[in-house]
Amino acid sequence: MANSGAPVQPPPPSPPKFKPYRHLKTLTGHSRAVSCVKFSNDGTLLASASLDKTLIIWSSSSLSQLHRLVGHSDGVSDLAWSSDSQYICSASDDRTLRIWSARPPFDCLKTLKGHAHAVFCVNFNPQSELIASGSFDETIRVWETKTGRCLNVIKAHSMPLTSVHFNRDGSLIVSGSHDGSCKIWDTQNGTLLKTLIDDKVPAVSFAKFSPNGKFILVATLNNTLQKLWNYSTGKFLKIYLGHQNSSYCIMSTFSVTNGKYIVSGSEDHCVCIWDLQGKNMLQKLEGHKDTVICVTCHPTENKIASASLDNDRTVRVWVQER
Amino acid sequence: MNAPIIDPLQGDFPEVIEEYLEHGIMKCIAFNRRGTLLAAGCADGTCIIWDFETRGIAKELQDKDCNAAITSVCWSKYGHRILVSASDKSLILWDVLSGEKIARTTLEQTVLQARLHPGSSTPSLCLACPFSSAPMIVDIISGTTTVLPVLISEAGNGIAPNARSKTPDGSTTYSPSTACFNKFGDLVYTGNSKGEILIIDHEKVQVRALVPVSSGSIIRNIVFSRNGQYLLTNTNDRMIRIYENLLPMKDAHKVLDELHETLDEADEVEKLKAAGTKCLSLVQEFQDSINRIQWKAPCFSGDGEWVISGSASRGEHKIYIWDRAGHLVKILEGPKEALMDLAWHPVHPLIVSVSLTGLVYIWAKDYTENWSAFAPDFKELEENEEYVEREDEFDLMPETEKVKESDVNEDDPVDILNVEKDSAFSDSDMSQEELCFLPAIPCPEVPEQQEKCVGSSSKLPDGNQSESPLSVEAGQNGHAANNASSPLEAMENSVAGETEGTRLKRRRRPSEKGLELQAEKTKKPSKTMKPSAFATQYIVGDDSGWNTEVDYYAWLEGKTFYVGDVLVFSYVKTDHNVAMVDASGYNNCNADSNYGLYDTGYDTFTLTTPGDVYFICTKAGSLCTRGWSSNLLICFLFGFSSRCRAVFSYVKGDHNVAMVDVAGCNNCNADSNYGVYDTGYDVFTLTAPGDVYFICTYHCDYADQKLKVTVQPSP
Repeated sequence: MANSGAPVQPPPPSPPKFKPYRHLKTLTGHSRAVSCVKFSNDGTLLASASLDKTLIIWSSSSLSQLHRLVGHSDGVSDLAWSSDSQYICSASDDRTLRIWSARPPFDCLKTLKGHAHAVFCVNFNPQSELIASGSFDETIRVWETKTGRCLNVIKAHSMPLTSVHFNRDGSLIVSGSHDGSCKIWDTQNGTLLKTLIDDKVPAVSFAKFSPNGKFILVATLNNTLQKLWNYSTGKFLKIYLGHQNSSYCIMSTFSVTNGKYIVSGSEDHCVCIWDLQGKNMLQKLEGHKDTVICVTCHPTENKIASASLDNDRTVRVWVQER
Repeated sequence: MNAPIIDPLQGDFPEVIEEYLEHGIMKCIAFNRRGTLLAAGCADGTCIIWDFETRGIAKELQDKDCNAAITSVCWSKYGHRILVSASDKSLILWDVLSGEKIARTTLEQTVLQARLHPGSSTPSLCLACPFSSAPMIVDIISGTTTVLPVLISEAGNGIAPNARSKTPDGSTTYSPSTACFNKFGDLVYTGNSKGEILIIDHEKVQVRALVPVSSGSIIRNIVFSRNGQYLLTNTNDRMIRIYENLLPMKDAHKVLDELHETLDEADEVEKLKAAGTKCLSLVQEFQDSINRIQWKAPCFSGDGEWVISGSASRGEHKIYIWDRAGHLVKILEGPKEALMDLAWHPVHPLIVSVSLTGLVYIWAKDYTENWSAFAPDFKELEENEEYVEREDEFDLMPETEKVKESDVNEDDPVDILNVEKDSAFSDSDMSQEELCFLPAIPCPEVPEQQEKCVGSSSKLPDGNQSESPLSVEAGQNGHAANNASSPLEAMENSVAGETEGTRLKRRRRPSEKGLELQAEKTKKPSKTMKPSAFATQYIVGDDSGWNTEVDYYAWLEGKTFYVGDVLVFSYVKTDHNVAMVDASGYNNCNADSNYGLYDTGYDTFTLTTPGDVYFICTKAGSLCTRGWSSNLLICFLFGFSSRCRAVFSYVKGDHNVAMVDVAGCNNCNADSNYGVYDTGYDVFTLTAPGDVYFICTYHCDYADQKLKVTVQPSP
């Protein structure tokens, strides 16, 4: 029950002192594994998705439950916020995506149908007029937010997709897949621009552009590796080691509010925080009772939320000690 | 931003129609400063704002008082406002984000072109070029107009005939003139009917310089490049002239004032001309010296490196691209519809053109995926290089192999937050918030209006087959032909007032990857419309397309085709083609009919007359129709089973043909069950995969006249 968590390694001597995070609150509400948790871009809301087929919107300040979004007929794997924090798009095993209004009356505005298999990952482009989704049917679909039309289907990989993410200006999509490859696509016409990794194993479990769109953070299912790539040169710059990840597609993220960190879940039930530059692990947050599948950082405050699987079913919120 | 990974070997200018936009009848277009939104003025007075990212409609601006055709659209510098001029003599200023009308003013004449003052983010001043009078500065909100001088009278003091009056001086007759602001809007460059460019300080309403165009013919268009460095004129002598702007970008009018003080010519006109030589210098002239084409809607590319112009000839949609050095680099040829307006995307190598039918075509590079995209360590080379391998390159040293990749210092700090400013826009102060995108509000779902995918469509450049004399087994009702893209129908569509989702058509040229997209069969409207008004588009083979895997008889099952329907053949370009043939061509796998052979990978045929129509792929077929000389033939067994044939044509009496088994072939023995044929033209239908043997019983023995045909199963 040591919620405060103990620093694993002393922080590096130079840049801003790392203040350890401590447990603030545990959010219960899902009856199955929580698959995804994300702060809205304006920082006021937090949304979580679960295998119990529902999503819950929480207030990120009071951490109280505001609304439960019900409608999917199967578990929800991923969710994404529109840039203006008005809408949520959820990806479900029922082969559809749904666009929800994140403000009262919390309606489901659209159901995006087309994928031939479970939809695993979803993201809005920065202008939020497009949605990219990745599915077990091995395709990326690009949808128009306004009308819900599918604009493009990219036969992207030879195994299920694990992540799709737009860069800063929305011109590129990065995708990762169980086929072990990580590819970059032109959003406009769906053409392949670059293959970053093309190994059969390990599977690429997560890929995401850095906030400025210059680098890609890639996680692979071989227990140790989180790599930061410079995609234009095709070289990786940093490796972050020390967490456990061999079977789940764990979402990691950049923390930029107070110093620069990489934050990720781990299969040893911890949340791991690394120094971006030094690559050393700064803290392991303990408290979850199962694999931490997803972490999210508040856009302005030093706040982390993490979600955990079936033995735990909670979202935990962590804040930096003063 | 993705520049570093885009192939540098691909060209910088567009080559093919990538897609087209359809909504009502669009007349004129304009990009916002970043090229994220495209405004289009329609014949019914609406102004459509297209989200250029999704190619969907972001907003419709419609004034209930205005239903006359829009003649021009113009964005304010930061994209918050749009000015439209309409043929009912009105000017309307819109707020883009709210979609509300800010002001409307009506002039004496229809304005052909209206330009907002570029200096302000919330401009109300605009430059209007009316149909047949001098250009004027209009304050749309107050409604005041200032007529600008357009001719220098011989006595010439350069003062406008009737400045600051509500009404232009009716006594002088002007032919149409054209004008534009310079980059910061302090000067107006006017082209007049005498072939002179006048540079006017519009605040003082005074001509400050005069540049005569060499031929002295009427100036039809005058356009600045986006960075303000170059100016082009389109004149009646069928020439496009490029001038370099010698004045500084900022405070150009002050420099002109100073210039005037130094000049000491006594004659006012001479003085203006002398000033003119200090303002503009001619750098290039373009013309089509063979066809002497009249130009239409010329403009610069976003970076000013290219100049494009449409041909003003009727019934052709041709866009000429020159580099600024004067070389014609490309002629884009669209469907046989006149070109109405033209714009180059501010940032990307994209051209947008408006056709007479009201469609907007988007021209883009014919992007081919380069090999280097497919594997991390591939590199595109400009030419072959001799490769000398390292001494230990192929040594097996598993341990050291792993070490080699880290030639990057992992301890170098990385910057994940900061972004360089976009160099293309660095020239202007960014104090003003720019409006690049309209919020994408998901419109609530109408019960199950879920459109599966964008559908279906016709690639226009060469697929415009509306004249082709054909139809597929069809037309019991004998419907009148109705071209799906005719303006009439487009009109009907918009009048029908269906939901936005169905009204809006976005067509995309499919990439091989996107074939799945084509799955959708065009929905027939459930309205009371007569079916003939709606052509149905069929993707032959639906999802599977046109190839050897599909049983097309099964596909045809239950389908009735009407005149006007469109058949789309989508296939892998290198593997197949499509030819429309007659019955004999069909039976003989022969595409030598007059309809031509298409091999673009995506071809559309419009059915124009009732009757039977046949389509074949000759790629597989041609292999089957070789003469009696080759000795190995590979046939693809078509999905529509019995359609693979071996055709033997020979001089009757000299040869014959028999289908035999292996033993028969080896022993030159035709006593098998298949029989011997000697008509001179014998056709064998190959029904099952495997090897088939043919011999000529006369010559098998000593001339070895035998043939083995390998029938491949459908791949």
